[in-house]
Amino acid sequence: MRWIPFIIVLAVFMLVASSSVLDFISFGDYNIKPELMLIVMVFFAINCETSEAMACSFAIGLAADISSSSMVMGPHTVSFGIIGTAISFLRGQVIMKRLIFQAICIFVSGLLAGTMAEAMIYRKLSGQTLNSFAVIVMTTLYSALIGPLIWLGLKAIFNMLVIEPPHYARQTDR
Amino acid sequence: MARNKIKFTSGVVFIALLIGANVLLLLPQKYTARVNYFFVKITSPIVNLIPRSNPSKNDTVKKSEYDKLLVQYKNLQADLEVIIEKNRILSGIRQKLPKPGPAIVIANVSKITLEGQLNELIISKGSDDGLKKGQYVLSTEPDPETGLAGSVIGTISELSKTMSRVKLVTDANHNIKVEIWRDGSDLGISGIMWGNNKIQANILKLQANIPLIVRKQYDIRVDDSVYAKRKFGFLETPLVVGQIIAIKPDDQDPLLWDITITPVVDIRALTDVAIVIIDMDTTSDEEGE
Repeated sequence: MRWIPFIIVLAVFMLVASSSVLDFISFGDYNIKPELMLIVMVFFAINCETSEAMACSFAIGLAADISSSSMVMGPHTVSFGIIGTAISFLRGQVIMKRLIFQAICIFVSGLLAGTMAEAMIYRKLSGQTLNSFAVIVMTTLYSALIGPLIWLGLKAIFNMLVIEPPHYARQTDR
Repeated sequence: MARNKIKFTSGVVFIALLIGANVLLLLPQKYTARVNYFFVKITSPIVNLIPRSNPSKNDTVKKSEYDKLLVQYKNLQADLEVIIEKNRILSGIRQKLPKPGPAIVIANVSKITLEGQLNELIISKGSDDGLKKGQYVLSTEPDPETGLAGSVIGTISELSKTMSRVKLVTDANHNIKVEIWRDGSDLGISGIMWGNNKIQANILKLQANIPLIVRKQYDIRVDDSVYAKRKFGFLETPLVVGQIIAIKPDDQDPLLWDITITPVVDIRALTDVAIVIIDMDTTSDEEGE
């Protein structure tokens, strides 16, 4: 992994996630929009080697915490780190080449990471919760639907960041 | 002699990163929030380049009308210059008085968050400017009914030295004591208002439905105004928050009305806000909201 280009790419995603760009594709009473950082995290967790996937997941989680509206440091770093690591270990068992599997992977990861993060935010902000479970489900579902399309763009970026092309799964770690 | 290269296993890397993340999580919010404020500060010039909402047909006018409005705007700007100069002189006089009245601090809106169940603003003034937790934040946009600026849009919820978070009245975690007015006079009806974060994203005007529960025996009508109640050390006079748009009996308690209110300003369009500073010595401990 080329880490400096990775940090630059991450900074761009942070800017997009914190701007109102995603408001243009939001819907519903609760302004539901896809969680960009989750989509990026799952992509890197699937396509990188295990140790790199771990570092990427924690780094993307940290970026999500810095740019998030909740303004709480730690919840996304922990939840993305754990879920990203789990994905990187599981990727040897499941092939993620089909869009439906990619969407399911984003949905399940988002549900787990989102619930964990909200619970930690609730604890850190002394009882103030940000999103109900229904909002987490809707956000994750939206991310899962739009995620595989964003991955097509991420594939091109990924090729610049690593020497190997994305392999989606069942690759032996070096 | 070749140097020994230390190689960590995946398990060690994971545990080290997890410990680091947990340390970050356990650090007090007042310290870690500084990182978030710094991020908002450095990114707001770029992020604010993107418009916050789609312009609709209602936002455009004909060229002839535009020219007419431009002339009026220039005239108003000239008047404003005169008023600013008068204000500068008057504020100099007020500083010499033994006990100054409420101060107003104007702040730029750095970030507007209306997502999920979170309705907040990040503004460009903090504790260095005399801001404290619980202080009332007003819009600088004029009220369409009275023509006066200054409807309550939220309260300060968290501060750094140079930036603050404002919890909007529409936020699910925000509540505020309010009273109902009709035709410019107080009806003597008061209650607690809290947000429910309802937003209709496809239209510019923020449609915030805020249920307000008060005793059913009172006469309350649609179009009555809702004012924030006086609060010692925070608000000396009641200020308008919104207008009642729907009234129905409460589903759970038939003795109560469930009232829906809409804010008088379009929160998405806010660029500046005003913060009321009543008493510089007021502590945030008094705040119970």
